Parts: sequence; C-alpha cells; structure tokens
Amino acid sequence: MNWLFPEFLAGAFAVGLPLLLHLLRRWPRRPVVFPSLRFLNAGKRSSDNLWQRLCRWLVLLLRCLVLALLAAAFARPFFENRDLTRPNRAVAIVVDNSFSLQSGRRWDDLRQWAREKVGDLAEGDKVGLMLMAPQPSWVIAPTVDTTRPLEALAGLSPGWLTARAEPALRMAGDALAALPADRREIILVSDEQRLTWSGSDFGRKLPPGVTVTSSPIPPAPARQAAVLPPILTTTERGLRATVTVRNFTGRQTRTLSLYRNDPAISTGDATSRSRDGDQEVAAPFSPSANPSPSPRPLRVEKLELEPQETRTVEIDLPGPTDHAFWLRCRLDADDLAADDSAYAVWQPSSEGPVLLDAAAPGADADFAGVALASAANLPPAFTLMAPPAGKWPARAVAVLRNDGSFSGAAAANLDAFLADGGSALIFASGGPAQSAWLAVHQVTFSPLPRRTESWPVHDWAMGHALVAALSQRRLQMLLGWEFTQGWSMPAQAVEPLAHWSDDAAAIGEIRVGPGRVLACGFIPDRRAGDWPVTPSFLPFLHQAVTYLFHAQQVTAVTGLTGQTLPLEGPAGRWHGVEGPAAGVTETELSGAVTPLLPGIYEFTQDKDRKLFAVNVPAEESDLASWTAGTPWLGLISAEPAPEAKIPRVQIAATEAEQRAPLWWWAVAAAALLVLAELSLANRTVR
Amino acid sequence: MFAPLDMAELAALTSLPLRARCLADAVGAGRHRSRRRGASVEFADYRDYHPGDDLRRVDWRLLARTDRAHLREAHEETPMRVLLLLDVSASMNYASRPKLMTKLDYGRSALAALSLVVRRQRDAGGIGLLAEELSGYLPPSSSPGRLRSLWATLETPASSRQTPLARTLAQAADAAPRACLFVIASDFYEEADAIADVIRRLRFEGHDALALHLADPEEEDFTFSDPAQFQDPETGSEWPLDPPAAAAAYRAAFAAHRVRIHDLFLENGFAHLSLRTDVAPVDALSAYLAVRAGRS
Repeated sequence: MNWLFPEFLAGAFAVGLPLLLHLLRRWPRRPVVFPSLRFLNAGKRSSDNLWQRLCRWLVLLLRCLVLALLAAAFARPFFENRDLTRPNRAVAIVVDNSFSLQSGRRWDDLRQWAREKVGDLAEGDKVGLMLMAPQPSWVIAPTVDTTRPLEALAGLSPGWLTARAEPALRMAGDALAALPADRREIILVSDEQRLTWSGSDFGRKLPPGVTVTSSPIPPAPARQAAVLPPILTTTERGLRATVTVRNFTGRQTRTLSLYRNDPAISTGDATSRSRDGDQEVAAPFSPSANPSPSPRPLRVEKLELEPQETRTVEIDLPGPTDHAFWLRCRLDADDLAADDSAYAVWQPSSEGPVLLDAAAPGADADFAGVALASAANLPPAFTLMAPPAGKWPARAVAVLRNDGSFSGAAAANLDAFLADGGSALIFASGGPAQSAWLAVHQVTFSPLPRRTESWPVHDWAMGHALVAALSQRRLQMLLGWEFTQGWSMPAQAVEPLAHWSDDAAAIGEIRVGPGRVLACGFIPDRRAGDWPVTPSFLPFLHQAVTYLFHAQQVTAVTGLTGQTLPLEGPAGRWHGVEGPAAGVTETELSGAVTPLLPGIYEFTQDKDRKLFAVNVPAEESDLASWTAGTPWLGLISAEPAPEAKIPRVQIAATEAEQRAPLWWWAVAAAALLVLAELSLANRTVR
Repeated sequence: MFAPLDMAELAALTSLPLRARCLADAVGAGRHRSRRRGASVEFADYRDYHPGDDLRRVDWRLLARTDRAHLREAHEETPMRVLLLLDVSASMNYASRPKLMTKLDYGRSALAALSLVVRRQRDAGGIGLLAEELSGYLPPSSSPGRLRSLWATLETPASSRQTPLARTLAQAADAAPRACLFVIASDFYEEADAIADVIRRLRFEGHDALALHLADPEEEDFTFSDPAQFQDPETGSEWPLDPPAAAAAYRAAFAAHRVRIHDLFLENGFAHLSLRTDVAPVDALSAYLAVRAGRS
C-alpha cells in the first residue's frame, strides 16, 4: 500500500480526540428524577453491564476508525503497480477513412486488426485515435483508458472522401513526441493505396523516437470501375451528356444507367454514341435500378471494358433544356460501390422568351410592345413573342394587358405557366375576366374614384429589388407616375412596390404557387396619362422583365466531397436531394459548406435556388497499392529519441491511484461506520 | 354521559375548590336516594299493618276505601361516613411533563371533588394525610363547615421522604369510627404483602374502601430514550441508566405490582381504581357513587 499524499496521515492522530472524550466523560451527568425506580431490575439499573461496556468500546472503536479512514482517504492510498518497471508506450491509431476502404471487407478486416493492436497495450499505456479525412483530427485524444478508442473505433465507418497519410502521421508524431513515454508508436490503419502517399515529403522526418506500424495490405479488388461526373453540352439537337468510365481491373462487362429528375421526360428515348464506335445503341429498359425521383433510367448501356480502359460515352438527352435539372450516372455494383454513381446539374445559359399579349382594345398605340422590342437586345437578351396557343415555355416572362388573356384557354395556360414556376407582369385592363382571375388568387382590383386631378404613384418600397434597380439608375425614374384612371389592390394582400394611398397598392407582387406575378394598377397606354411616353416607361419594363427572369434562375454548382463550397448571399436552407446526400436533413447555413456525402444538394435563399452536384474524388477510385517497399519507413527518423527525464514514479503513482480510487472506498466505509456509530451511540449511556 | 374535561385546563386551575367543583359538575353528582325505607316524604310502597306498627304511618284514606289497614312507606335517607386519605410521600410529588399535575395535586383534586360530592350527599366527610405518620386527621362529620376544613387540610403543603403506608393506614383505622368508607389516594409504592394485614383489618372492622391508585403516564409507559442519571426522590439513590435496555423489565414489574394491589383490594371486597394523571379523575367520583349506592 502506497500513499499519494502521506502527509495527510498525520490526521490519524485525531483518533486521540474520541479516546480523550471517552476517558473524561465516564457517566452521563444529566439527572432525571423518577419515583418508581424500585421496579427496575437490579441488574438493569446500571448501564455498566457487559453489553453496555461492549457497546461503548465498539462505539469508541468506530469513531477512531472513522477518523483513521478519513485521514487515509485524504492521503489517497494506492497499491504499488508492478508494471511501473515496464516501459510506457504512447500509441496513436491513425485511421484512413477514405472511401476506398468501402471496398469489399477492407474496413472490417483493418478495424479488427486495429482492435487487436489496442488489445496488446498494457495498463498505463496511452492510446489515441485519429482520422485522416477530411483533415487529420483526434477522435479520442491519447488516454490511458483503452476502452474509449475501442468504443470509438466500433462506431466508425469509412467516409466518401480521399485521404493522405502524411499530414495525419506528422500530427500524430508531434503529439506523441510531446507525451512522456519510453516508446512512441503510430499504428497506421490504411489500405496502402498509392494515392495515400502521393505528395509526401519523405525528406522531412517524423520526430525522433516515433515509429510506424502499418496494417497488412489488403488483397486487390477483382472488379472495380468508376464513373466520372458527366459533362453536359448543348448540340444542335439539344443536350448531350459525356460520361467517362474508368476500368481499374481486368476485362469486364458493366451496365451504365442514366437518370434525370424531370418527370416530363419519357424514358428510353435518348440515343447514345460510343466514341470508340459510332454505332447507335437502343436503350434497353432496366426496371431494377430505379433511383428516386425518376422511376426509370433515361438510358441504359452495356459496356465491354478492356483492362485498365477509360471509355467515354456520349448520350443525347431528350426533352427541354430551358430549365435546370440534375442527372445521375450509375454503374452496376462492383467491389467499390462508392464511385459507381456520379452527378451533374444542368443550368440553361440563356434567358427564355418574353410572351406579350395583344394590346388592349382602344389603345392608341402598343407602347409596351415597342418598349420591349427595344429592350430585347439589352442584357439579359430575350426574344419577344406572342403567347403560344398551347403550353407556354416554363422559362419565360409573360407581359399581359388584355382582358382576353385571363379567360378561357388563355387563363388555363397562364395558370399552368405559373404552376411551372413562370412569371408574369400584369397591367390593369379594367375588364371582368382579369378581375375574376385576380379574385381567384385573393387579390381584388378596385377602380380609383374619378377626380379632376390625376392620381400619383408614390411611397415606393425602396427595399424591393426591382425598385432598388430602378432607383439606382436615376431617382427621377420614380417620379412623374401620374394617371387619370387606375385600380388599387389591398396593400395587405400583395407585397406592395408602390402605393396610390396608404392602404391602396398601385404595384404589387403576388406569389401564385412557385410562380411570381407583378400586378400594376394602371394601363400601359396614353388613355390614362402620359406615363408611356415618360423616361421611366422603358426602364420599368426592362427592369421588371429582368427581375422576373432572375426570380426563376437556378444556379448550378459542382464540387467534390470534402471540398468547401462558398454560399454567397444571405443565410439559406441547405438539404440533400439525391444519392447518399438525400439523408442530409435541412439546416440553415451561410458563408460556406463542406459536403461530406456525394449527391445532389439544394440551397434555397429568399428568392434564389441553387443546385449542387457533389461527387467523390475520382483519384480515390484507383485502389492500386504502393508497390515500392514500405513508404512510412522513409518518414521515420534515424536519430535516437532524446533523453527525457520522465518523472516515472510520480506519474505512475498518480495514474495508479486514479485507476483504482481507493480513497472513494475509504470515504464510503467511513460513512457506513458513521451510520453504525450513530445507531450504536443511541443505545449506550455515552 | 360526563362532559369531557381538559386536563391541561384543570391543571391550570390553581384553586383547589374550583377544581373540585369542575370535577363534581362534570360527573353531575348530587344527593342520592337510600335503598332503606322509613319515614320520609318520598313515597316508596304500601305494606300490611302489623300490630305494634306506628299508627301514625297508617294510610287512613286507604283504610276508608278498602276497610283494610296499610302502612305507607317512604325512602329513608341515611348518612355515610367517608374518610379521605391522601398519600403525601415524596414519590407523589412527581410530574413527567410541565403541563401535567403531579400525582399529589391530582390526588388532592380528586379528593377535593369527592369531598364536595360527599357534602352534596349530606354524608359525613373526614380526612387524613398519610405521611411518615398519620397527620391532619379530621373525623367524618356532616357539619356545614367540614367541607372547608377538608379542603384546607388538602391544601396544606405536606411531603415527607417516604411513607410507611401500612403503618399510617393502621393509624387511620385506629382513629376512624365504625363503618367508614376509606378513600385512599396513593401511588401504593409499598409491597402488597406489607399492606395486606391492614386491608384485611378494614374488612373485619366493617369498613369499606376505595383505592385510587395514581400513576404518572411516564411511570406507566416508561418511554425514556436517552441514558441519564436516574434519581429516586424518596431514597435519594442515583443510578446511571440505559432506559431502552431496562424498559421491558420495568413495565412488567410495574404492571405486576399494580395487579397485586388490585387483587388485594378485590379479595377483600373493596374497589380499586387505576388513574393516570393525564386523564380526568371523574372515574374516581363515579366509583365513589357506585360504592355509595351499594352501601345504601
């Protein structure tokens, strides 16, 4: 038995106190007059019988023991550890958690090997657990409790990143060098990919005394190929996806499937052309590989891959290209499934058309048509056309001023157009069809009362993007808007841009499902005033169309797992959509994000929507092992470890005391003895 | 049904006559009716005339109606001689709690109330204090001033270290007239065998007796928990005592002594009543009335 703080044992002299009290206070002095003592048995009259004497001595013994145990607890007892003579080890387990470890049984086998290594450690050895990716970091800092790294190891799984060994080894080596130990060892749990050591500076050594033990190299995969992210380009016939498939093993036949998240597209109508042979291949239907949301693959192709071949496949995609969508290319399963899917996002590069209906009957001239034709060549460039009789193109802006555009088939087309995310600029026509259509969307057009002077438009919402764009040109753009006839909207029913009066909006924005409508309570010709010939007329139309185009815009970003992607603008909602990323729940983010799972992500800000295609790093797919010897030997320093004066006994004593906290048992025993003392003391006369 | 009495309120009454009236009123005791019949105003029964009977008691109206002579009988009221004896030994001067009466005060109150009942019954009341010798003795008398004399004697502070109960009782028996009712208020801390002779003597001499065996609740229950130095007020001896260890034996010995005293009185045809000082002594008054009724 040893003592961490033996000076506290002096407290054991306190046992003299109960002894002294015991000797001084022999009998109770409190007198009690009681007249019927004659009925007490002679043997019971005195408390000085054998039982009482025994109890008194027992109580005295308990009191002395309590004090002695408390003194012992403060002195922190511990048993001498025989392992104190054994050299202490400091071990860092560095785990390669790149996605190449998902191949076959690599992860399970290497983890079991690591567990055995931790099991070889003796008491007093320190062990820590470090992950290589996305950047070297301690999961468990070096500790003498070997169960914690084991528990953490059991809960780990390989990620979707690539990893390099050197930064992790240096970080672990520096940490081990700072620990007081006789032996410092890094246990490297890795599949020894050639890639793991790429870029390593073998001329710079680890701290002296730090050794590296690496896990056994796993067997090579029997069947491994990877698909790279498709490249989307436009052709005369539409859109073309260029898909690259790399074979890392021998000859094999693989199936490549292409999915698109557009339910409007019928499957099986794409054509493909292999670059190594210009033959057109019909796309067979494969119902067994249907990812969400496309129920069927757009294209399925069988590939006969030669050993180590890189095959490029070009696939023409059917369907409209005027709106954003994402694609997923998928190979059938092999030894490493992590790189068998790749993702891409298509974003149209140009704006859609502006759909302008006919001028209202009675208009003296088509001011809006002339102004829009003039603005068509300004950026963003657009084409001006009349609304088609059938379905309106989704990526378009409709400018409507005729009451006929709000009735019959035209109204149905307008509703479908807005339901697809289209946008519209509406001028008041004063007709019943327009009022009815607006009433359906919870907005009422009320005519302004007739008066001699004209109605000015004022009280502009300067924070609105459209008003801000107008005012940035010239503030005078917001002046001179006067009308002899107008219609007002309740300010609480719309997002007002300008007002006739306090509660009456002159220009308001309405959300109709995903679509956006700018409603103006005045007509765009000279029947109600000279506004169409003022300098603000054309800029307003141009900015309004630009604003409505921008509201539909979807920004597409591509990236890799572990890569930090900037998120410009205000905070928004980030969530996964497809692939392993689909499990990423919605969170509010701003600034930047580092996705750790591949797939399609969506980032939604106030009026903007961005799609992110995140793929695994292609270089990690090559599972080829390092063949030129053991690379870590090049990092080990040949210099001897510096002679460090390790206060072994003191440290070992502290650790031994912490491992078996006997002081706690001493306190517990003292507490029990106090209870026994209280119980017995009440039965004795002192 | 007696009105309940609060012992704390009773103990707070410092005037002995007041206590006595409270107790007597609680029992509702008044004049009693004798079972003996004689010449009185209260009709009891008719009986046939026998030669030699007093002609003044013949019911002449009945003779006129029935032509037969009948005597008219009425209840006769007879006085009883009651001798109240109070043990004033040091052991009686004990109360285990501040709000309790000592056994001595309790006995005084009970006997004072009894003396009031005796007075209301027009019986003859006497008194004696059982100290080292019989003291303060007043023979039974039904004179109007006797009640005040009895209360004055009861209020006389008297205590001695120890009372030889057998001897003082014998002295009372010597002094008492014939056919008295001895009402003895004591804690009877005397061996039963020692007082057996004098109890038997009372029986042989035609006396009646009512023993009021007084005890403090703590004497009966013995619930002390803390060890202490116990003192006997009569002998002055002191013992260090562990009450929980001695409690069981004490209670058994106390109960056995009480049973022996109880049996001694009952064997001689007397009444014995155990009273706790935390319960109003109305039972004592009821017992007296019962004894009184049995003797009439």
